[in-house]
Amino acid sequence: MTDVAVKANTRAPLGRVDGELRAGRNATIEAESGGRVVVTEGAYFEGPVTIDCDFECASVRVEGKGFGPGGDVVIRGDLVVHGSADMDASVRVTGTAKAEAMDVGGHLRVGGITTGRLRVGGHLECKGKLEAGDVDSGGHFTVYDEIKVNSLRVGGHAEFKGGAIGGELKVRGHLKTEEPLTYGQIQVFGSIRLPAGSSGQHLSAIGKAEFEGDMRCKEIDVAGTVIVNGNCSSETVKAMGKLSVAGSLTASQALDVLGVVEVKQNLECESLSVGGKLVADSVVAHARADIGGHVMAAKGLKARTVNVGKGSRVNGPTIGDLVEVGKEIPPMTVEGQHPVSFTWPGRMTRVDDVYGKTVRMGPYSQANRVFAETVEIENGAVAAEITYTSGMRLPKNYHLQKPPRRADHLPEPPL
Amino acid sequence: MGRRSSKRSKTDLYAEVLEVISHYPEGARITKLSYGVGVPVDRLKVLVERLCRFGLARKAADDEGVYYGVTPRGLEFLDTFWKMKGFLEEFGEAERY
Repeated sequence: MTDVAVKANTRAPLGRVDGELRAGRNATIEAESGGRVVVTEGAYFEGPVTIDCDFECASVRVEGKGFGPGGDVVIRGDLVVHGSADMDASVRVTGTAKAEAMDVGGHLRVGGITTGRLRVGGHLECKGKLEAGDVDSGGHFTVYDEIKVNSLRVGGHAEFKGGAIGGELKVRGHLKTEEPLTYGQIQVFGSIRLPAGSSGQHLSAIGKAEFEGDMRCKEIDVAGTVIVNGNCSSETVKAMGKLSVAGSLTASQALDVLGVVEVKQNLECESLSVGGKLVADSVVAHARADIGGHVMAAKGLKARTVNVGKGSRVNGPTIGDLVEVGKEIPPMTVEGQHPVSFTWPGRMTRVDDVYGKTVRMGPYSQANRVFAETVEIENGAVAAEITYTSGMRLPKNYHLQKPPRRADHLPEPPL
Repeated sequence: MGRRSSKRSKTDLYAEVLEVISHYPEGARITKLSYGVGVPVDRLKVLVERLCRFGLARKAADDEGVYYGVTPRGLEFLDTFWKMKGFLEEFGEAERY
């Protein structure tokens, strides 16, 4: 076994090194023949180094000790490291890089990369495909081709063509892809822009998230703004900021609105809880809808049980088996935060037409027309018209524009 | 940490330094950090020492040298900083319309 040492500021033609390679600062290594230098053991560089050919070694270490930024490692060819590469430098590989694990202190510019674990202290720029296990970039992350990684954590902005991220994607800055992205969980602190057809498990956005077409996700948690220029489907949706959908929104389980949700077409979910403002063409909650804010549904709001809290508003018809207007609704809780009450004391509860089996109008609530089998009115309630088929209970103090009317049949609800 | 369109504020700079440190849970030497942050070692040392005094970063030494890592308080600062930045960007967006 013969170790080889290359002095600082010298140029050394090498072939195969059966042992270790040590090179001083600003050394240049080139291939004797065959365009490749092979080092059977570790390669150690004291600082900046230029390798003018393909380079293969068991492991690589760049010390860069005490010299600070400015020292670059340049490899004009492919880099193959059978073990780990630990480089306290900025690294440029014109070809592709392959390693078991790669740790680059500064920036990394590479033609393409396949590695188990990749950590870059500065920016990462990759012209070709990036395939890795866990990727960690302290600065910006730019890949001009697809990526296939297990997890990705970016301290700056992330921009890549598309691809798949099996686990977590955490971006401190902005995230943008050109082609659909499949992801596990996305957590974005800045803004995010994904093309149509992107899908994943969990999306959490504090900044602005924009989807250029239909999007599918298991859980959506929005603290900032989410804009979907298509249809949006999810199991659960929590909107503390603003969620705007150009098509329809489907939440197969719960939809919790603490901010503003605007849906151009229809909204369908299992249970609905509104503490802010909800605007949609039609709203259907298969189980129950608790309204503690303002709902505007031109075609109607429908649920098995509808509870319109004290001081809340519903514009458009309200339809349900049981519709309660003007009752207290329990405060809504957001994970890790204090419960928030969406009852406005002193403000009248207002709904438009109401269709139901049982309709209960609480104190100081106002409805337009009420159509129900049974109607119960409490003190101070106001209605334009009441039509019932089975029973009616009136308090001492109420106001009806027309006397209540008993009918054999009720009109069909609009939704 | 780069591609800066405008001058970084002091808080931005501290957050960027801390962000790079946070990518090394096992601790990193100042040289490695200086490459990541893009700030010379001598200037970075001052910033990191200050972060240590604030309790946001920690310092540990062994035979090989001095290593810097992030503290739980530092991670909390980073999360709050990026969250706040996200909110402020939102406000900026809102003001334009």
